[in-house]
Amino acid sequence: MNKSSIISLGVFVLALVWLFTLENKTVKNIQSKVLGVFGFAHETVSSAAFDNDVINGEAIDAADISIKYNKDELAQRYSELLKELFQLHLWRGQFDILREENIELKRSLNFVDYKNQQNQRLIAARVINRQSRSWWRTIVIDKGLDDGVVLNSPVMTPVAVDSTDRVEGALVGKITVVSRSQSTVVLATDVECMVGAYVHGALEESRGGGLQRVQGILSGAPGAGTDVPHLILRNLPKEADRYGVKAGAKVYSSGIANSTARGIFPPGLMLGYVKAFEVREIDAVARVVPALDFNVLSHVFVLLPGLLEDGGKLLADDVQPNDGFLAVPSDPVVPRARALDDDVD
Amino acid sequence: MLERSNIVFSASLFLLMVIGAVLSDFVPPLSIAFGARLLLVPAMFFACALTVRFPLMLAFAFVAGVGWDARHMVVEEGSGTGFGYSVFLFALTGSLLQGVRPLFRRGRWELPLFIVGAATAILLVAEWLLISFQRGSFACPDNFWYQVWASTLLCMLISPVLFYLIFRLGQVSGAPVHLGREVSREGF
Repeated sequence: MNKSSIISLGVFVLALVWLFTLENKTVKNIQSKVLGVFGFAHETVSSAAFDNDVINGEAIDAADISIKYNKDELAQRYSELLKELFQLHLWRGQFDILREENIELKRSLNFVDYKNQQNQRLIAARVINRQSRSWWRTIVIDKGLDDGVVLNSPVMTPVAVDSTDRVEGALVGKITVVSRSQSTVVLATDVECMVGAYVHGALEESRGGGLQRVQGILSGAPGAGTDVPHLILRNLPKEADRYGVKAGAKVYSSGIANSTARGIFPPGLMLGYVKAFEVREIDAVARVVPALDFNVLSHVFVLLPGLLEDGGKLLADDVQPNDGFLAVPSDPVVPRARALDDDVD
Repeated sequence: MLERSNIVFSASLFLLMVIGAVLSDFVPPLSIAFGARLLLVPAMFFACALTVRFPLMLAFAFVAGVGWDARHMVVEEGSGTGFGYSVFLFALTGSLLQGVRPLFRRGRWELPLFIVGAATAILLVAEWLLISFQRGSFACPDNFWYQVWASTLLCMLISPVLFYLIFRLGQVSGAPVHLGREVSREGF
């Protein structure tokens, strides 16, 4: 090994030590910057792919088009639109899928209405990337600091329960990296995403003599694949099955913090259903099937910090990023606000 | 003293790696390959590690590792971050590649492909071992081994293109590509 190799190895080791001793905040900063670079690349590609021609479902006006594209680009655009038209004809046969999507959107609307009634601030976001080959289960959404998203903001989506006209807010995960225009969400199926949870309908005797909910800590199961993820609810009392923890019981977020599960998630978010229960040496665990299919998520909602007044004005606007979350107790089931199926056809 | 051509060559390799990192975001997972993805950054790094000198390999390991962790790692508050472990793994696998460079003196074209594939597999398995150690459980995800082999195969398939790019960059910038004395004389 020559002299320059030894010197470079020394410098490398020092740099490695510096990396390993970085504070959490600095690491988040670096991740935010890197996400920002990737976000810029995404936006550039989207722009080049003419995705920005449609804003909120309406085409941009002729004046903007003439500014944006020259004659050749318009010809290219015309050719692409013809191809799209052909595809649209093919998609006619997929009417059922669109109908399902329509129902899903109305569910989302109900969900947003309900959250607004609770003065909670939600922002809709599109899933723009999912990192399938990673040791962490994450997705990237198209909302960031500019939209009010902060670190640890809970991310949720409405899911149907019992019948199609009833929806609940289901936990998707939490924001783990945020840049100006994009954020990374660590999914609830990840081992690192720990949530204080309780089993609906299961009550145990408290030390004071009263009744309290059977609670535990929910996280992703190590080793679960992306196609069949399951969650593990641990730290349950060994007699939890006698208290009502059984297959099919619903699991909700409790909003309660402890040493491992920080209380950043509001209570009442649907997490899943108990599939199996197992007693271990010192506690019991339940295997939980998630309430939603994380592989098909296309749109999610981010719960922003602060509350809204009736007029829609921000009530608690002094919330600083990283300050955690205002946990608002809520009834998990959104009441029927709008007929979902009636006006679909 | 560093020659200007070497600096240009190194900078262009660095740029190539950044472009690879951005491009890999647009490469969808392959459902036929058990959801495996083309890992452009590691493939690019391994190709570079076979063609540059040791100090530059370390620099690339640092850049690729930091970028990799910044993009993929979930850092939780309160726990040790572990940020930077990929730098270590990249440097480790890169050093292995540096060690087997003399094997290429015969100039056989298929050897670098297998070496890049082997390095990818080693990197992925080492990543899994480190993460498992940190999490305190050695659970194996579904399809884990299939994904490792599929990613390995994809990296092997893309590596000739990467080697070609690197050699072209070497020619354009006027910097020699160090892949063994005989090979650099005969060409890749």
